[in-house]
Amino acid sequence: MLDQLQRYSDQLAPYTELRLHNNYETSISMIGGTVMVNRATTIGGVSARSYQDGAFGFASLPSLSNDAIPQVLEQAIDNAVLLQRRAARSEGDLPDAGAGQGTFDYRSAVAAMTPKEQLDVLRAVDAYLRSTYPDLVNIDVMFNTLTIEKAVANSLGALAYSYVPRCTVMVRLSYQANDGVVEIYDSFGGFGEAQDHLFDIESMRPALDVLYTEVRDKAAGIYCEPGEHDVILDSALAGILAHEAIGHTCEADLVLGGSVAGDHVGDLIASEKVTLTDFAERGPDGKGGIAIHVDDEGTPCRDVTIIEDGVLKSFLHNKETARIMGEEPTGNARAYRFDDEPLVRMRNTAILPGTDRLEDMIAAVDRGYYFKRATNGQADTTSEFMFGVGCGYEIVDGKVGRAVRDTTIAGVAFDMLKTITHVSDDMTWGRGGMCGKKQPIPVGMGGPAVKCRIGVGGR
Amino acid sequence: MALALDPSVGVEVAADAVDRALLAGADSAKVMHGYQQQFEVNFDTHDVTLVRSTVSDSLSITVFVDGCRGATELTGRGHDAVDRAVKEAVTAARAGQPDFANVLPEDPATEAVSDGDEVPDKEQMIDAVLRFISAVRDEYPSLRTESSAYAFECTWRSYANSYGRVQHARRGRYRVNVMSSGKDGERSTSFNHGAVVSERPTADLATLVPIHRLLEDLAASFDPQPVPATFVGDLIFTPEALSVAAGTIAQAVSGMALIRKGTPFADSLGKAIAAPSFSLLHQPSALAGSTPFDAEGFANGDLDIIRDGVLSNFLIDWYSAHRLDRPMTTGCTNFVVAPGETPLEELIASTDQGILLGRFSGGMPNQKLDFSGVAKSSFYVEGGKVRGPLSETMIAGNFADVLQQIRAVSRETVDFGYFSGPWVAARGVTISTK
Repeated sequence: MLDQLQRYSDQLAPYTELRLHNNYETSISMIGGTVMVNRATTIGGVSARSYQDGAFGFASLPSLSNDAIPQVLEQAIDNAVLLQRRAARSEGDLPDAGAGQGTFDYRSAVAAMTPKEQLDVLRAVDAYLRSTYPDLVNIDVMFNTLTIEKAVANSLGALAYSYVPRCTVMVRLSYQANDGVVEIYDSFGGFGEAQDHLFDIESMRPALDVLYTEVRDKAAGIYCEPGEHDVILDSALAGILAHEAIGHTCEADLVLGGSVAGDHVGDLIASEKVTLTDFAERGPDGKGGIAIHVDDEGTPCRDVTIIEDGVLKSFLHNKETARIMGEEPTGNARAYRFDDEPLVRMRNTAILPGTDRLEDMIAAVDRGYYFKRATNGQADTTSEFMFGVGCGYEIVDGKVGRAVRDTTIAGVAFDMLKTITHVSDDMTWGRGGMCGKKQPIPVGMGGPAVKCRIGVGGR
Repeated sequence: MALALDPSVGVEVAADAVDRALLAGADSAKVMHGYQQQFEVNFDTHDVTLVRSTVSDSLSITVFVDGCRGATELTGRGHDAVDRAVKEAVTAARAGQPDFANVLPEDPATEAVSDGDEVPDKEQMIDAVLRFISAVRDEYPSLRTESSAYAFECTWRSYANSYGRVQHARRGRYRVNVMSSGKDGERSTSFNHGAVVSERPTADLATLVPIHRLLEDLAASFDPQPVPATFVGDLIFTPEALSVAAGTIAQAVSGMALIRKGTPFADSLGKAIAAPSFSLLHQPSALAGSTPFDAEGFANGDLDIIRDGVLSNFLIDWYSAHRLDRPMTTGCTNFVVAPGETPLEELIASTDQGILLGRFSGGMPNQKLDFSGVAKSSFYVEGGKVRGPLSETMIAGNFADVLQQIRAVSRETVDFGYFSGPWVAARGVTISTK
């Protein structure tokens, strides 16, 4: 791919980005023991984005051939010229934040799993659960891989290739409660190719047994009491907290669109125990959910400290938002498919660990909840956020009690973050986060457990 | 730049891929070819931010070997790439397990509808966006627009299977997506979005009803307050919120929900599951943004789902029909909630205490249809009057109960192109604050 791009590097004028891009996906779904989806997908092509006197033009074609490249370059410039003609502007050059270069190939050194071996993972999980726990109403097992391969060049000399895989196995269990069916799910795997993970039943058995216990607990569970409560958000939820509650409000395009974060740079917006960073590459421990070294505008990626010791420090930028706000691009411009334009997106976003122990945090709650896993989450430019909670327990007198049914937690981040009193000393990255903002995109979300006060939905 | 293609070529491409699948060892096969040209004008508060044109050309191939399924999807249609893809799909199928529902329809398909423009007037589309930016700046100076787009998409879809069944359609549609929020000094509102699909281009985007409603509601959303106290009251779905709720109800009456034994409505066919004033219809004929045909080439036709409160039909596609041994109903989902008889003004006036729900931001409802989440872009209603915008307000309930507790459906409806529906008021929802 890099050779192909190099051939056209002298044709990238005016300022132009050129990207060759493939998404490889595998989806196998065993629903109630039946294989209903068994699909491999390769979606790829070439795109170009040109910038001329303040006007951006973008074009793509579903081909990686040498014939397609000159066509998209020409069309991207035509689109920029069309825009310039209809809406004349002169907004200056885009900032030059360096030219990202290199090859960042995370493909496995181990031989790829065959389709039969992939299906055997599902068969083994399904068979184990079916034979061990015959009282389950339904068992769904889903195997998904997503590998994004891209090569990016731009007029400033950027030339970078990346191959970034992830693989997850999701298990969803249904159990008959007195008042209907309840379900619970968990994911296995994460960054890397399927063969990089231990999907054998012996490795997965302890977590599958816990999942069964959780769905039984949930069937006997209670509804949360609505209102604001002291809660412990386990690390899986703290990662979503970092992403939804803070990360989105600090994406510079949303700041320009009216996010309240724009009014608070330099302000204490969180407990001094909170430091939150959007990490480039694979994060501080090399275990982040994604890998990104050069973004889709060709900018070298760097870490962005969003909150440091409770103080709001900075935002996530692409070249355009950096130009408007007089900042440096941070390497946050990302596109999901070949025909998508780069947008400001998060990468590996995490709250950094503190010094508290989870056991002590739970013991510090007289009456509240311990929430373990989220189902989904949404953010707002006001910093009001919500996540669905699919697995959680009540806490009574400092001890974990009955399970709770599905609920939603919500709050205003810039208020709620100030209520954080404890941050645990460990850190976990989620296994398969996706974020939606015009386009989907894989993201890394991580963090420790935190103790805070938050609104809980219930009846 | 665009490759020339007419629908008959798409069918040939699909049929050729079917032949290649059979040669690769498939017992039977089906192929969907999709080709789309898109032109999109992106904009924010101040400017057109990007002009984007894309072409997509994809083949989705499903093969069956000894009753086992394998599938592949790829961009392009080069013979080498197709041969590689079908070989992988056949290998995947051979590794699979038989499913008696893995069969294909054999009879000829009824012709689907083709309509809409083939080529947009690009300059007129840019002008429409510039006019919109100017109108919002003049009439709603405290609103900010972000990540919004006015797009034209012309899509050709062609289907062929190994029994000689073919289907094809072309559809040209315009789509407006606006995301906006209010910001006036340090005062701000939640963001919200509006979308419309139409067959014809629009010169004045701000006058499209869903977009106009979005802007008006946002302008009225400054200085929100939580509800005064937790209470059990009325939830009034706006058409926007109803479009999402309709999807939840549809999921609960789908073939997949029946297969997964995950719906409270499994034994409810022919029974009342909602108040008599509520009708949920699958009505592609009424929606510009409907799908011409489904994944097996069946032309998309109208169907009652809930009529006058009674569950009339499940949403059973071809696969589910064979899996469940039930008659097929439809493989598409294009919903309309029928208007009622209550004027909107009267619906609001008859509300003692409740909220007007603009957008639900919450966890996915579970199999029991319990829901809980945040009421976004919503307004507090008390004593028959809309009192003001809400913040930090949560709602919780159960969709099956909500359907039974519907007390009024408005006469007025909003057509989004992808959904059409009225305002619907239901009793008995827990509305809480912190």
